[in-house]
Amino acid sequence: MSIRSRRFPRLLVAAAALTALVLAGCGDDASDDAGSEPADVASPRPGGTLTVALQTDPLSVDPRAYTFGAAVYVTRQVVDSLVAQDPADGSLVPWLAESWQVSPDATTFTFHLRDDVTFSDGTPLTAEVVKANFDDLTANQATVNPVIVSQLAGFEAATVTDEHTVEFTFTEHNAAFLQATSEPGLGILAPATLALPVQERTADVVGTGPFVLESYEKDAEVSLGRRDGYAWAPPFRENTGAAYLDQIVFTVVPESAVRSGSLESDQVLAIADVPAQDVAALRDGGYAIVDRPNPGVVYGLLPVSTPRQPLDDVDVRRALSHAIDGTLVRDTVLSPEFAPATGVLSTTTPGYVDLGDEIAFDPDTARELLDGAGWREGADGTRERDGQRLRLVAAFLDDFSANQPALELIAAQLADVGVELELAKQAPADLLAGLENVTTDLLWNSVTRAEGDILRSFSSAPPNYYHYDDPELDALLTEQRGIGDPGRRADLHAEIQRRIIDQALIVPVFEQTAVLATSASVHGLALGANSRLDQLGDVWLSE
Amino acid sequence: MRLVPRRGGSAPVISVLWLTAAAAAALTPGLLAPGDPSAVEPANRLRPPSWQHLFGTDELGRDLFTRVVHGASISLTAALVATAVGLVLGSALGLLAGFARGWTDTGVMRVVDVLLSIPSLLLSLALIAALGPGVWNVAVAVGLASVAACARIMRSEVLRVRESLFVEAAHAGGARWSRVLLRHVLPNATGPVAALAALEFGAAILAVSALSFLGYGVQPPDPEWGSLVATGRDFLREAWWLALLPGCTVALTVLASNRLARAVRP
Repeated sequence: MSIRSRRFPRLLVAAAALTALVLAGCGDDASDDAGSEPADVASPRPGGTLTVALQTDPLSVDPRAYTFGAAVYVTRQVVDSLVAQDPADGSLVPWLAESWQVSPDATTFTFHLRDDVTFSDGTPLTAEVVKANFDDLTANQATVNPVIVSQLAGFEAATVTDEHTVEFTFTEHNAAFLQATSEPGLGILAPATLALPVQERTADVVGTGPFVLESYEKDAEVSLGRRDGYAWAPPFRENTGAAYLDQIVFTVVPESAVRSGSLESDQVLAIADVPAQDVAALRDGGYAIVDRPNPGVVYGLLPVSTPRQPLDDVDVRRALSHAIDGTLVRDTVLSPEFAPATGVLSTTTPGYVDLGDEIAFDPDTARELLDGAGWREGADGTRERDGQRLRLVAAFLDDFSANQPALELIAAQLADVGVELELAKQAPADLLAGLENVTTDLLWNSVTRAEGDILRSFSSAPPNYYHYDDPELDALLTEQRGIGDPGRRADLHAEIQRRIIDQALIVPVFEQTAVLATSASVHGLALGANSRLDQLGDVWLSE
Repeated sequence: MRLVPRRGGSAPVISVLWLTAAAAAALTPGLLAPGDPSAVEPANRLRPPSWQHLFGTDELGRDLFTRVVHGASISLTAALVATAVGLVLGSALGLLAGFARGWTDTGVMRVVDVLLSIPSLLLSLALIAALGPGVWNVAVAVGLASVAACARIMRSEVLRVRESLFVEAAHAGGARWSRVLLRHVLPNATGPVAALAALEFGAAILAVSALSFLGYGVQPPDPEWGSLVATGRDFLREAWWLALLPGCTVALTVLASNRLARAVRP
């Protein structure tokens, strides 16, 4: 017995020493890499396999199934779209369609297709195939992702006018449809894929893209091979011909620290969802960081209990905006790639307006607003009115690693001005129930879409999960749907953003940002207008 | 039962000291760590352990030692509730089965056999799925998962005791069955169950921490040992202390209660 009890501490010491050694080993690896890889300016070299570690399984290669990051990363490689959105300025440029017309009231869209495009199984792309794609979407609405279905609101019919011209008609204004056709969700699939029942498309999709699906094994890996003869990449890509890479292999590595380690130990050449705390170390280690703010509504707190006290008072909502310091949140729990929010939309969203001054961090203004609304500081620092404490419940999902620390910091910042913020990490079902029963005051959320139409999430039209009710805003949101002219629409979008900030229907905090890291040997990896991984036709590997 | 070290060695004494400190932390956390466990200080984030911050600071600059100390009250109370649930329900079932015998015994023990066939952590997870997350639900789920082991031990002890002469004498003396059960059988069957309780307490700390680690426990920013380890896991490369020190606290507490269980073995 006594031997055993004396041996135990020694074991502990041994374990600690081993841990220290392993940690030291990791550090050495990183510093070795720093010196070895000088910046490469050589010309593109074909060949090689790009390995990418994803946080989550893409779940399906079918572009209509899911719209989250990993799913889009994979399906985008296989599927092309009618139009492309240039990440540089958000403008829409030709892709499978070489030109198009939109009626002034945004109810009719005519696309003229390229005549040299074929699917990877050899079938040519024709107006009939495009029509069949949209007929299939309408017929399978129940199984298509609801986000994609909502982009087709009011869709009436697709009509083939000649072999390479197809016309879409809508029963209601749908100005956002044109941008929607650039997303993989409305990408064009081959007749062979459309012939399959929807369930069988999970791992069997044929498109016109620069890569072809080779295999998909759930929770393990997706393997894609080069499509020879590809020649119709969008004009903003450097390489409009066949891809340089022979193969892309996406693997699933859920643990963030393991993903970073996989990159550093050369098991993969690129990783998605780089944890904020690893960014600096990876950059110092000579790895390239690829980042882009997600277009759409920024990460922030949505007041979802405006039908009742205390958030029915616009001054209380405005006070929250001034009490939160987005820069401190970024500096503490995120990495320098992230930017504090300067309005409803992020800087990469077409039609973004800078409203940073309206929501500037200013705790004194916040205190004045709360004083003015009748909430006076109570005994323990939390404000009170008529014996009621100023206590708000903020619900959030665990879908982004910085959610919890960011909210813990925000709670501390709000406590400084006398607002008690209770955090509720919830499963999706509980979250929806909290919204429905108005037991949640604030919802922590961000939405990704590179179109001003995303502002409609602030509308009071059904399903109105957030219980918003601003007739003035609703009128503007409806109006922008019916304007085919992008310039006039942008003016309306600007007015809508001002109205949302004025009414404090969001407390903006920071811009959600896609952060990837690649080995120094990977060149040309870029993010698309939606800040998801773009088609990897430009990517090449140096020795 | 005896609390003095058996067969020499100081481990039980150290165990008692450690558990006393843990109990003190749970009952009066403010005495050991006077700070606010949720007070953030971004300028002081991810500082390694020092005299100022014994366990270092976390990603928001909160003092980890304060959080571990305050977490003790949540973790240990939950483990205590879990043990009590398992012990009370398990003992009641075991007592019933052993004393009534016949078809009651068969029925109860088959249910217990089924429960024993399911790994306890899996059973707890299934119960959490039904009860919903939250630290008290975690405690109840862990407790229910340990009912079977308690019932087994209690039943075997009852079967042994009820054959004793003094029980027969009590029956012969005309005592009612409830009196025989509560005054004669129960007190004499509790020894091994008490030892098991100490063991189960250690296991319960581990199980509660495991479920919190998976995110079924407290809501942030409340500290709990398992959730502290879970948060620290993301920082293994930059801040080893965030996961290691709360992890060691859990390990040492479980170890101490296991050592203690061995010492109180009749």
